[in-house]
Amino acid sequence: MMRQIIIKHVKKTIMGALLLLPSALLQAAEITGQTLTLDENRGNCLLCHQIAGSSNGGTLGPELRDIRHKYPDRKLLQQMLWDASSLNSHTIMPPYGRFRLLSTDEIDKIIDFLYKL
Amino acid sequence: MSIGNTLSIVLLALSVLIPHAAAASPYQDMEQFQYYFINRFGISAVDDYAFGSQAFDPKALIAAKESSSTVKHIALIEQGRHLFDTPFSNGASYASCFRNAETGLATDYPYIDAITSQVRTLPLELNLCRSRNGERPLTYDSGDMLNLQIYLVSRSKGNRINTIVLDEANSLAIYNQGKRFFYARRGQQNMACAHCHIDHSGKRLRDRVIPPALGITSRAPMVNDIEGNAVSLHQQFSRCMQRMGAKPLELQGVEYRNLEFFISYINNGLPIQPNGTNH
Repeated sequence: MMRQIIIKHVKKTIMGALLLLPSALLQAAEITGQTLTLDENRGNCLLCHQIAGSSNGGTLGPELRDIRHKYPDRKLLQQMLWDASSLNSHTIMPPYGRFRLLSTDEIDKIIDFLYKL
Repeated sequence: MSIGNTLSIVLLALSVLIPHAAAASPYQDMEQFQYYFINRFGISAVDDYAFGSQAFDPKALIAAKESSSTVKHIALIEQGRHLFDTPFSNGASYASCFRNAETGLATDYPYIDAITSQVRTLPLELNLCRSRNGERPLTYDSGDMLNLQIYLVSRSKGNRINTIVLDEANSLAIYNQGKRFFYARRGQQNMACAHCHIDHSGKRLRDRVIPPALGITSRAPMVNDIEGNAVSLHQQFSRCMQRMGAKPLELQGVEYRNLEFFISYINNGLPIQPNGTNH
């Protein structure tokens, strides 16, 4: 009897996990550079920057425009997003990579988005 | 390298570091802090900073000076007055603990209590008064606690902040703990209070104008004239912490009280301006 109950619970758990898996994968795949840039719980770039097409951007940092021209060196921009304090110790830019707020892939997606601005 | 050479290098290093490590006195901090704001924004009337971000906008400043308390703000004051005057179960009231409530007592706080060697704030004393009279303490984010403060602060309008740092080790240690908190980076945003409220005050975080640190203690608790709710100084600290991706600390805990003590001291001389809002 006990064995049957345990098997039933294990089956339920596995089924539940299988049901959730596709949506989780889909969700991960759908996170775009734009979402990562604007989401308050991810890049949250609007906290300090104005971005064309988005309202309520802050003014602590410069407006994010012509980024491809301002930062043609993609690696430098990656480094800035990973840990801007490595370039300027007085910066108030959050160290997204060093603090594990964003992964390398996510930073790349943000740069792809910023290069379109 | 000889011991003598090593010692010379160490002494040389210390002579460079000590002026910074020893830092300025509290009075020098206060002078530099207030001078910075007067210089940076060209607002020579330092009292205008009691109006917060409105000091940056001449039209908004005039409007703020001419405006009177809103109906909602007055209602909160009256609720606070009623609570203050209502006797406890033992027949005593808050007046037994706060004898100068009518003439204004907001500028008596914060101070360092000689017995406990800790910072005492107005909310803390309100609860101590309750405990002494056999009443349960109020939570620091409760409406009653805020309304009591709003009432008492309203009686202090125009009184000037006068926080005292005694020239003794404990007072200076508490002051410096508050100062370190203010300048320490924290949270996922890796920013310090000073980054926003000194360096970038007047700019915007999203759509919110960042109020200057000068004047911040003149307007607490802050009453939102539109929604009619109030926010204490420590709740403001917690909101900032959350925005910076840091875990908020305990309201009226030692860290926040020491921070309040530091901020209050560098705001010395400014008037209490309870009608000011955080627009």
